Amino acid sequence: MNEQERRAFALMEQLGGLDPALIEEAERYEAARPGLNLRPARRRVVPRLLVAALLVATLGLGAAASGVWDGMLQRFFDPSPQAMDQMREAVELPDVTADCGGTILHVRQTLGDVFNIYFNLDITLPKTVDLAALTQDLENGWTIRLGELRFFTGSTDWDEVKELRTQSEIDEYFRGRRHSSRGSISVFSEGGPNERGTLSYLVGFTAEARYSLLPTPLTDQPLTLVIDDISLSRPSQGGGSPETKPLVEGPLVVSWEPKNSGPVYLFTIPYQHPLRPGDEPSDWEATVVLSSLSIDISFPVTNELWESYDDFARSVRILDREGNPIHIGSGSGGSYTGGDFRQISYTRTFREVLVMDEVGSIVIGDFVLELADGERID
Amino acid sequence: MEQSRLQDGTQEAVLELFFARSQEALTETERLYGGRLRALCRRILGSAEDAEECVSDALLTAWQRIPPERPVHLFAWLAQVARRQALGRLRSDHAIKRGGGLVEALEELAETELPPSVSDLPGESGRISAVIHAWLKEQPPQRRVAFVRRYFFADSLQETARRTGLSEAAAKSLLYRMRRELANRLNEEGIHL
Repeated sequence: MNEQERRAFALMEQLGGLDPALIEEAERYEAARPGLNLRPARRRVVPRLLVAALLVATLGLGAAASGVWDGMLQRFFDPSPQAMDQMREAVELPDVTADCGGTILHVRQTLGDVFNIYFNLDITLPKTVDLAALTQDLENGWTIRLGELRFFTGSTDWDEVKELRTQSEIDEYFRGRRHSSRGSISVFSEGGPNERGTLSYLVGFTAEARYSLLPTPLTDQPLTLVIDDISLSRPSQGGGSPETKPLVEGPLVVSWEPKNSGPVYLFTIPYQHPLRPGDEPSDWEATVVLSSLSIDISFPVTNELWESYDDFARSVRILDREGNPIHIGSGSGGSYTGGDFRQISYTRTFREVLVMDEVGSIVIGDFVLELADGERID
Repeated sequence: MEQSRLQDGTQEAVLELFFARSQEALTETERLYGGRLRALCRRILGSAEDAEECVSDALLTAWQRIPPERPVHLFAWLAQVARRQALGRLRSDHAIKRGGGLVEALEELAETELPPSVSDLPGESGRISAVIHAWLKEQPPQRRVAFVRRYFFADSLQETARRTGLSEAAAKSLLYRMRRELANRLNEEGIHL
């Protein structure tokens, strides 16, 4: 190695001492791509008249057509009447408010099932925030950015955690209560703050079924959302690291007990496959969980089943009762593991609500799962 | 699938097996993480056989150190151990084999004007890690992930781009800017490699 290569190698070695949380983040990142895991909230610059027109359209059509669906959920999923009818038990109005030292978190409406949850989250900034100065900052290119969002089991009051400052302190406090080490979180912003200092978000969380469906489903037990903090960020003028400045100190927490009950089907696929190439085939069992909001597939061993991950992904199809593919788009979440293709854990969230009455089967390569053979677990 | 099979898939369940000194801990760890660890080592070493040995060593290390250690992020912990094994093997072999993603990543880093060499200063190692960590924490997630995937996991440029949702050209450009920023930061901090 020459001198430059030696320095490069030394830097490579130093990177081995990275904070494990950063390594896990890089390993999991795909779970949140392309939509937005921890994406900074962007303030939309939309002419006021257009905003007014959208509001009129949303309130008018949304309320009339969807009944109880809130504006943001309605706009995101744009559900058909059949989808809304199917998801009646999946929509809830917890209307929970948590005062975090003057910052108010409000969970208005939720949509979900045992391993997906979407909800409207309003965050009202504390009175200590100068809204005029904040507006000025936003016009000068700053954007409001939520710190890391995480979900834990159990209920938590802000008073219990208000003294926690670092991520490691928070992790230690919630040790054993992490809802899932794997899953995807999406945050969609509709701008703000409004004149009351309220920021509006649509938050989605899809837990990987293999890790989270059992024994800790999202529903029928308290769920706590923790937000590290809220800050302002803007690109550096010189092209370096972005500038940041604090807006609201964390942690911020809100707890409620989701009871959303969207339809969910569980399938198992027994198959024989060698653990390593050249081994004798042994018995394995793949798991498929299909809900109206996502699909989760887990194959413990896949050495020779597909040529590549792309082949696998392309082989996954949801068919209607006539055998035609149902196109429902990909949402913000999704992940897979298996760099050398020995196992697959695949999660894909949907951009629309899947109407189960229309589904005939799921095809994964040579495996065909009839919906009627699935076990309802919602 | 039986409920127990699903429960077994959690990190906590694996750690409980380690703490119970059950040898199933190793088979479960291999099942859950072996593929990814092997791929990581293969990218560094360019040899499936060497990678297999590094992963075996990493599992043995886990068996020896857990308990008393209880990693908060088990995969990251294992990846650090396996990566250290792989880089140590490279260092002792005095040769970097072609075929791994590491070669390109190293070439990229070598093209960057890293600080002058007055290496092996006692106590410098921890400070370098701290500076790199602080710098990475300042980055938005997409940039941070791109850097970690390329230079910790030794992912190919194509894979780095795919994982971060960028085109290859955009990923290449981003990584170039990040390397320069990091070099500047290390220089500002008086860090020497």
